Amino acid sequence: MLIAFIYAAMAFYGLSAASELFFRFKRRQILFVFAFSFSAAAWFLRWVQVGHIPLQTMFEIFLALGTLIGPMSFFCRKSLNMRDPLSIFADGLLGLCLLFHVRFIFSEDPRPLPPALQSWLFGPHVVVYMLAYVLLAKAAVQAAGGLSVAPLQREKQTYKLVCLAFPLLTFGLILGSVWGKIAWGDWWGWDPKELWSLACWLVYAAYFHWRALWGTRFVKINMWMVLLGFAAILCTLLWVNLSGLFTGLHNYAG
Amino acid sequence: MKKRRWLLTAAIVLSFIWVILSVYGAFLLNQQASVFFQSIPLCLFWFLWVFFLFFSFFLFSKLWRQPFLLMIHLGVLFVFLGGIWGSPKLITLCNRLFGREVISKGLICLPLGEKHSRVYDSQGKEIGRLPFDLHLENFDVFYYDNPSLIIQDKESPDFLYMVPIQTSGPVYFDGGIELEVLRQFQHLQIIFQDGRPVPAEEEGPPGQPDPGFEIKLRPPDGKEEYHYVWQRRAVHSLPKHRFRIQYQAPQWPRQYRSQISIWQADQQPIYCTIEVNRPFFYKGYLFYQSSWGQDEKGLYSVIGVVNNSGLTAVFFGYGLLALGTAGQCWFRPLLSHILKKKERLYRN
Repeated sequence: MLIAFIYAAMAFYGLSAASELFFRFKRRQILFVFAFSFSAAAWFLRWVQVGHIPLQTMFEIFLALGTLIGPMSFFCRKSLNMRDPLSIFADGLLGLCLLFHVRFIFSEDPRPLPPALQSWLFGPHVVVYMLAYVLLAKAAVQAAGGLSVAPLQREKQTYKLVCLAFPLLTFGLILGSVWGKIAWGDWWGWDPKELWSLACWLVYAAYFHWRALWGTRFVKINMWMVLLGFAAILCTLLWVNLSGLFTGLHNYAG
Repeated sequence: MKKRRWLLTAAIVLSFIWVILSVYGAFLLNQQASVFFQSIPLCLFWFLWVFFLFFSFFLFSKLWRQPFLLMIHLGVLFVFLGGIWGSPKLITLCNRLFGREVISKGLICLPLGEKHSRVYDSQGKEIGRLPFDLHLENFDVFYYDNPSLIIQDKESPDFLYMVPIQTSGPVYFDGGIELEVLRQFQHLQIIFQDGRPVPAEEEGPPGQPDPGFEIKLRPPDGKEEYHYVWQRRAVHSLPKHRFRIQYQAPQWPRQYRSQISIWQADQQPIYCTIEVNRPFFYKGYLFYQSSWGQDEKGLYSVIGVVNNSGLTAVFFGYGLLALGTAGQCWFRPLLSHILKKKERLYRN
């Protein structure tokens, strides 16, 4: 059942991306609603299966990220007026990519929650990070698009998205630090994952300072900084968890 | 204006240097990274940050006009100051200057029933003593899974099963093989009666338990076998036995729990329970469940002890930072959007 839901969500995300590229489907929001419904159903089914909030393994994290794409896309369309074809195409493609990893790359095997993860901070800490990551992925798409087409307009959209995501990134870092104090005695443990997360935060903090200094005078540099921040996020999420190079206190997800 | 531009550029440069240092530190892994980030050049780097943050309050009048922006910068400053104040380097320095004995961070290894105040570093070297004794009253490890038995048939390599240990009744396998856990022993000792191994009725000396199980296996041909399996010993099987049985300890820990009492001269003991994610604060220290182990004497719990110096400043800084970023990035634009909308409505 779970796998069937994932396939269905993948199909609808794929359709929404294709609708932008090959044929104009007026009610494409419906496709996102279906994609979200199926991936949310899969995520809740997983919750029932494992008996705790499914945010532990890469399978569960990517499934949750895939679920968040739908509502985030809707929110950005309504609140930030992001209705351009690139944004909608990228949302569909991103959802498809994330769920493709869930189905074909990561192991589905459930794992019991280790003692360190049994905390009320587990859910909020991971959820705020994932919301931030989805928004910053969308910001990176806008920034990449802005390097070639409509740079000024896209830069403004990028800035709005980073503004939305940055407090979430900050909350994630703070919640993690408070949790670290409770679980491991230290609010900062110089763990590889902590350091990579801090690096992400610092790149976006530097972006804000740069923008405060120069505004939209050097638009391309603004864009590159956002792309650099997203590259740091990809390292934090994927390289740190999967490479085996960074053994530390956060080795639950790999 | 020039000064402000210079300071902003410096903030960007310092941020990127910090990014590079963080990535480098990630490759060093925890222990070495901790040493690296507390080295003298890096200490200077942290002080440089404090200096720049401090000066930004004087140079940027904008910070005072935008309270959320001020909160962000004040928050970061508080986190820095708290971190420096609670750093092991500064605590060691203060210990030397003022002749005091404050422990910044260490581990206390507590065997069951033992009482002491010695604190060790992660290498096992004693680094000091607490002004009170800790006594491990009890220690429990809880698991998700149950202990199991691995059963192998020497005559048929394909016959390999793992079953959870249950004493409620027999378990049946393919081919009509029946397994029954007859008895569980706290201290299993074997004696020979009429040339046959049988468990001794009296369980062994107290204090050194050697738990085990008596198991009966009956294949369809009716040739019963009695096996004795110990939890802490290697698997063994009699040559005439057809089956081989091995104890499999539970694999998935759910929680570790230490029941501790704290003893100080002329005072009543204080009792507390420490679990992972449930630490105990006492006299400026935080005690947390770090790890546990087992040696020839039995179970021992490793309790981590950390000094809480600077923690209030750090958490206050976190509060300011969270409120500041949310205010600056969410509430301020939202408020300005609402005001603009109202203004438009008013004009129309």
